[in-house]
Amino acid sequence: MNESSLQLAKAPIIEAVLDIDCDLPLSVDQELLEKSARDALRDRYPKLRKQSIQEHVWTHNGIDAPEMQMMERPGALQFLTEDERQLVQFRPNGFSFNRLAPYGSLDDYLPEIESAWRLFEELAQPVMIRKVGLRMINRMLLPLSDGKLVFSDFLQVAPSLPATGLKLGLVGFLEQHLAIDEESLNRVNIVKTSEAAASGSLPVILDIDAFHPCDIPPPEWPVLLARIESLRNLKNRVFQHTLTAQCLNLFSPVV
Amino acid sequence: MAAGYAATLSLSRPGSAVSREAGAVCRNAAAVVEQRERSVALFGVKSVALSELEMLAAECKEADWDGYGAESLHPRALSLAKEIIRSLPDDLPMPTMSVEPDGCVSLDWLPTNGRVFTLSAGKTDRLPYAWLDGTDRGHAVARFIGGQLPPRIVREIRMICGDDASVWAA
Repeated sequence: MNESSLQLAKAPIIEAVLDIDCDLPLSVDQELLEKSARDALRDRYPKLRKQSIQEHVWTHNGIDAPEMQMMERPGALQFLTEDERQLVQFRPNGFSFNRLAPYGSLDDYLPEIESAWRLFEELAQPVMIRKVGLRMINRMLLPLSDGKLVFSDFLQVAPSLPATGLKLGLVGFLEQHLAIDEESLNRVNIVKTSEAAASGSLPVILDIDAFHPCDIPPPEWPVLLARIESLRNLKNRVFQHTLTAQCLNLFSPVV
Repeated sequence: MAAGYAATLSLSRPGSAVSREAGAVCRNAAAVVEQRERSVALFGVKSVALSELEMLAAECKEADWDGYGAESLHPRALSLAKEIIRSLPDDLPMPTMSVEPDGCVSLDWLPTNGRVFTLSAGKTDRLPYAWLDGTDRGHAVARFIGGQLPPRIVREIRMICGDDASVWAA
């Protein structure tokens, strides 16, 4: 059942990420890939940021002073729009499309995602898809009352403390739940965590990562799109049923 | 499927998201992982394995450490071996570890004579592995992505080390 009727005028979404994790051929020519992608994306994504992964390894034999070795290897090629609110990533293990706030609706970005994915497919020639994921990171400012917050007013499943009889107050939390939809076999990783309170409100991050592990050769776009829509439906339902009506009202539901 | 601390470990690594809030989730998860790694009950066995790996690394840091022209231990192989140890499900025994002449780390499970599972941590995220169960044998390559050991490898180690190995080999 689709449940995408909820529309929020002030949606708390900070970042949306569409990930397609793939195995790339072992013989990818990184320089050629970078040049071809840059040429093709220059108009829409004029900025290129080359991510590199640094690893620091300390070794210690228990006697001599510890020794540190640093390694660096190429990470993602990040192609950014002029305002840096949108990017396409060609990663060593796949493709990502990121949209930072302000975020409209996934429908607004699907044509762009399709176009960028087709380019990635043409240039990087992925041989196998391992995962399709749709992640939405939301930041909600929950209003404090006299410096306190009743979490259950805002969250359907609220963090709580044991009833110790002491004056214990919650000052931070990280909750993670991993679930599977037995019908679609989609999975969802739901994370709720708090940040430091400021200006009369408590920032709470709700990070919903709906994903589908798979081992298939890259399918035609309509097949991928159907999977993305299915993940979107799961993500929307989790969002809507994680928050109370009072919380949803903070984001001005469109009636 | 990643669950419990394994899922938190995965969350504590930088992914494809770029926002400040994604970083906050990552840092908070890293704090949980760090707490776990301080616990002897939750992480003690792995902590010992990581220390053994450190000792090996110190012994094999120079080329020709074996007197036969071996390559020095590759730092990427060392860090990958550490990640593999961290990501092993808690019900699996720790492997025996050694450094190979090509600078890679070999992680071996040898539950009985005639049953072996061996995995090589090298310079890339591709993990060659091989197994021997009596007269049956096989080998393959899988990728180590997102701080998680591929389920296929976990399943096969479990088969080799568990009581049901004979069923698997039939």
